[in-house]
Amino acid sequence: MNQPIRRVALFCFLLIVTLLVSSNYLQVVNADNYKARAGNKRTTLDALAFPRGKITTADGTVIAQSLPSGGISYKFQRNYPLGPAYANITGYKSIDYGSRYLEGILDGYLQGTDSSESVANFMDTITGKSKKGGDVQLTLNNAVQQAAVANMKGRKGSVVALDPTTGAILAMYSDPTFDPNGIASNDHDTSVAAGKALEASKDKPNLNHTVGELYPPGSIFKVVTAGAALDTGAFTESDPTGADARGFTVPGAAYTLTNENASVCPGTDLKRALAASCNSVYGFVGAKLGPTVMNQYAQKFGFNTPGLKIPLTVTPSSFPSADKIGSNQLGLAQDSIGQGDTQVTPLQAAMVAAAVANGGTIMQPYLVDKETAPNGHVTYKGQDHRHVLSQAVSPQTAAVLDDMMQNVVTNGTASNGLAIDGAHMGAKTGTAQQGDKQNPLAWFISYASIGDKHVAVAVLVQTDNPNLRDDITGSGYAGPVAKAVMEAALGVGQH
Amino acid sequence: MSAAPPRPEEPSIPKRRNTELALSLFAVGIAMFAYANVGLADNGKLPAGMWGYGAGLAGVVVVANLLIRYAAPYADPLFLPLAIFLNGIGLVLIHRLDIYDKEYFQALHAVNPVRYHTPPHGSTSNQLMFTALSIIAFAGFLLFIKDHKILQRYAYISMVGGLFLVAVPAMLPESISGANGAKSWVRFPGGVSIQPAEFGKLLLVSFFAAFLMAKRDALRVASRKVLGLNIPRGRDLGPIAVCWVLAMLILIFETDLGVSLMFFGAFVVLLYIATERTSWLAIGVTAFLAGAFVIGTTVPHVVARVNNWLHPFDAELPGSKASPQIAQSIYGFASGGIFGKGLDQGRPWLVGFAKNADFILVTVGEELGMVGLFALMMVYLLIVMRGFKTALLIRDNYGKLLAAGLATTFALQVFITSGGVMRVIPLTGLPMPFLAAGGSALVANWVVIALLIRLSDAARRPLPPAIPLTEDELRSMRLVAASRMPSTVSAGGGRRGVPAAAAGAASAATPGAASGVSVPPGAAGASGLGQNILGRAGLDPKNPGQKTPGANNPGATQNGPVPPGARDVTQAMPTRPAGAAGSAGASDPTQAVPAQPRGYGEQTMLRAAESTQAIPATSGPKTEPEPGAEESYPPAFEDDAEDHEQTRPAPAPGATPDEAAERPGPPERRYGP
Repeated sequence: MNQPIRRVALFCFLLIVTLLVSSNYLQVVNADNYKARAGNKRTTLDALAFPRGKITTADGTVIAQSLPSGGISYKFQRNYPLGPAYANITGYKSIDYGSRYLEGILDGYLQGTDSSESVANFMDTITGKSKKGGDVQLTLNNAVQQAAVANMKGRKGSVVALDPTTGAILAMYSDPTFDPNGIASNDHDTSVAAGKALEASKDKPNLNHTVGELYPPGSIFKVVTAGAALDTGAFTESDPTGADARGFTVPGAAYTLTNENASVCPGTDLKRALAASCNSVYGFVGAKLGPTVMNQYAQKFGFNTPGLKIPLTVTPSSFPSADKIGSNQLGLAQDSIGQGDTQVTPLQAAMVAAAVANGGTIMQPYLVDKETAPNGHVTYKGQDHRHVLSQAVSPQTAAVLDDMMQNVVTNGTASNGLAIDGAHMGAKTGTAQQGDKQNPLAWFISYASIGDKHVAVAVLVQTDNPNLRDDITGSGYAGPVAKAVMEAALGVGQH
Repeated sequence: MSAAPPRPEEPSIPKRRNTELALSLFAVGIAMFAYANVGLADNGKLPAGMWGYGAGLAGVVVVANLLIRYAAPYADPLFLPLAIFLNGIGLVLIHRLDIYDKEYFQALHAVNPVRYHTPPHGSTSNQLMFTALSIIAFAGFLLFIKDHKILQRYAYISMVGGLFLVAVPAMLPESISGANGAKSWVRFPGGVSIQPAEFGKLLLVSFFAAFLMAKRDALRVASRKVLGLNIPRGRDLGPIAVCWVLAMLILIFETDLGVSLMFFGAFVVLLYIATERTSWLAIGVTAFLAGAFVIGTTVPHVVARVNNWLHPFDAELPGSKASPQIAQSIYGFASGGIFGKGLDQGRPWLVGFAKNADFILVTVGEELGMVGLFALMMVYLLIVMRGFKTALLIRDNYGKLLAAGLATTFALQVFITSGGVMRVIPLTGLPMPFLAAGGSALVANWVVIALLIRLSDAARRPLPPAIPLTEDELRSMRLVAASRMPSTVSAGGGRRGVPAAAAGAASAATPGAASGVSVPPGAAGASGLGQNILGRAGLDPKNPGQKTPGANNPGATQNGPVPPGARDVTQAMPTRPAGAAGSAGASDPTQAVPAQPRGYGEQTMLRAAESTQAIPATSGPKTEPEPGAEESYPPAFEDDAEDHEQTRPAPAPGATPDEAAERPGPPERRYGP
């Protein structure tokens, strides 16, 4: 009987070996797949077992942190001290809804699992320090952000402020927003209630509109058209363009592209037409330049360029392609004054202003100033990664555009008390039509500098009240917000 | 008779009891280390009860070691340390899960003191209590069961008891027997619950061993050969069919693939070992797979389990009613990774019922990692392999089958439980041996260890030294033997063996008597079972002449007929074993001549005398049956040629080269001149 016993023993050995193989498969080979599954609560619980890194603004204001929760399963609770003000930058880290925006994009670093922190983590393990995640400091300036929040109170819209010389984003705010403390609550019921409320809201409060939503730019796009006109040499700042001051007409077309309130443009040169924001002139200029040139310059300013990350993903703004425009002169004219098929994000609008302020050079916008590992080592510095995103126009063209935009503040549509004392400032207003049933959008892009402080701003204000429809102007609605934000950034005025 | 020559020294085989003690204390040390680890991870302090816990386990070790020194001095030194290790680690794991329960309660209590007012009853103290109870059972078993062959006598009682224990949860209402979707428990009022199948497995394996030993020759008969397999006769399919039906019933009514697979697997494996027929394996495996497939696709609650196995993550789909346990278990293993999270630093409670049954393995996987799991599996594997080693070494067939059966059931249980949580096979409700919280399982497993220790003691116990026969003895033996020719021995009849011994002493002087000589041991080998069969068969034990191999009596088949005149052993070797155990060493101990005063160890002999119903025949000079010849078969069987060990089992360790030739001593030796 010994031979069968030996065989059975071998069989039993193989049974156990099967278990070892299975263990290896579950715990090593396929472990990461299991960990990544949505239903795996352990991953979330692991994330909440130790303090996740803080997110702060450049001035040190904490905008996301982990606090001891006192709970048994979840040791820490993610907390957003300033709530709605930064909700669409930090995003949230929620047990039930996952993570969003910076909390999601920088998840590894904040959680302490990023490879750049492995040395710090290893040292902490050896020295017995308790585990925690790395901290992230943003380029945002709390004063500027709060100025944007305060001035957007009760309005819908977006504000973006950035330093045109570096690309560092100083403020980024879109209203409506929400309080991420609800959805990030460890308490399931609270979290789900907040999540359902967000889903139910039509205004998409959990969308960062400054980078995630496209709007017709309206007249602010005339800066791009002016840039193309000057940079190609086809037009000059002060010479008449040859356009009809009352409207742009294409033979056989159904309508004429008229100016705001059917007014007559005070001059057909680029400078005066920009100050008065004449559709007739800029429609004509765009049509004259042709679809290829217009598309080329739109792209130089950052349109039609997917893949921009700040590190939030930016929806590419769009200008129609030459093929799409074809020989539709009137369509191209519409596109060239920021209507038609032209669409921008508020960030893109700010980048247009920044290009003018920075000698035609657009710096890559960025949000992350530095990342600090738990042991204090700075593992990432935003300033080391600054780079030129594109050269929109030549410095000479930029200087001319600068002059034209300053003229808008002093003599043009933005001359209603928006100038900042002692600052070098240029601006362009916009009132973008959205269709018959909706109020137009009030736009304001501007830049200002005092000494070595530079800021470029884009403000978009949306209104719903039909009674206001005829009153809406970029300077009246968006201008004061932009002024306040610029003052905060420059450290002047009431701040 | 002339004075016998001085008795030679007992052969010295290391007993290794000190090794056992050292290893066991080391195992206690590991468990204490783990216990300290839990405390430090929990609150940075050594746990308060640590030294008491360590002292308790060490006390258990010392008691068990002393007991084994006394009752089973030659036992394999690994069983105790391995069992202590598993038991100790199990306690630590349960303690670790208790900590969570306590913290969880405190958190709830802080929120709602009215609703959550009763703190959870920790399982650790319970488990400690059952550990103590287990050691008492262990000690009782070793002290009262002096020879494993005693169990052979209670084969049918074992069967009835085993079947009852296995079947009883199925017959009880779900409220009493159900847990985790399987009905394998019996809950008593007051919170005590047992898993009767744990004891059932012991009894049934014992029954299988005894039954198959008795029936093996019949089951070896082949009707025809198909694809190189000897297909058994149709009428011999009865036992396996009955077993199969029972296994399927268990599967249906207890929803428990584990119990079902374990019992049927043990039966088929023992059938294979006993008959050496691969065809039985093929039949058994095919039948089980076919039955399991049919049931697994038709019976709803089994289907649910199979589906849960195939699609463990379906439970995460909205509205799914499937159990999320397997998915959680997989997540637990995955989060453990290679080195684990460390004791008390994972979240094993996410799997429901983490302490109970099989899911305690998830705690190991998550907190000790793949490395810890491998180590644990190696410990289980060692127990299994030492069990098989015992089966190889032990000299009687019942012991072989019993040891192999226990090792197989143990291995199957480890595989079924671990495989269930690791998603190798559908989930079952079997408890992880020694680890899971649950008193009955712990006690039952300690009894298994006691039985293995008892068996390994029998396996390693040295043969008594051979004492040369005096010329007088030889002469008288031959005379007596010659005078009894050609009658054969009456052996089965004597419960105390005395008449048989007398008969045996006189028997077998001629080759023709050879087969007859060895018949009684065969009957004896079957023990109570054999006797029953004999009795039912209408055989008169007093008239052994009727019993020949040709009679094809199941009870009489495992004799050792040697080709007549093959060897004249007695003359070749004028020595004989001094005691009963001597012959037991070479062949079935039930054939042994007990109570040789000059032999080794009086106690052993007395035991042998008690347990042996038959006294082996002595042989005449010409017809010495070969020891170990119980493995021979009537030449009518077609496969004699392929039977390697038909007549030559491997000598036991410690046996002298003469062992193969030894034979029972003359009766007068046993009872004194």
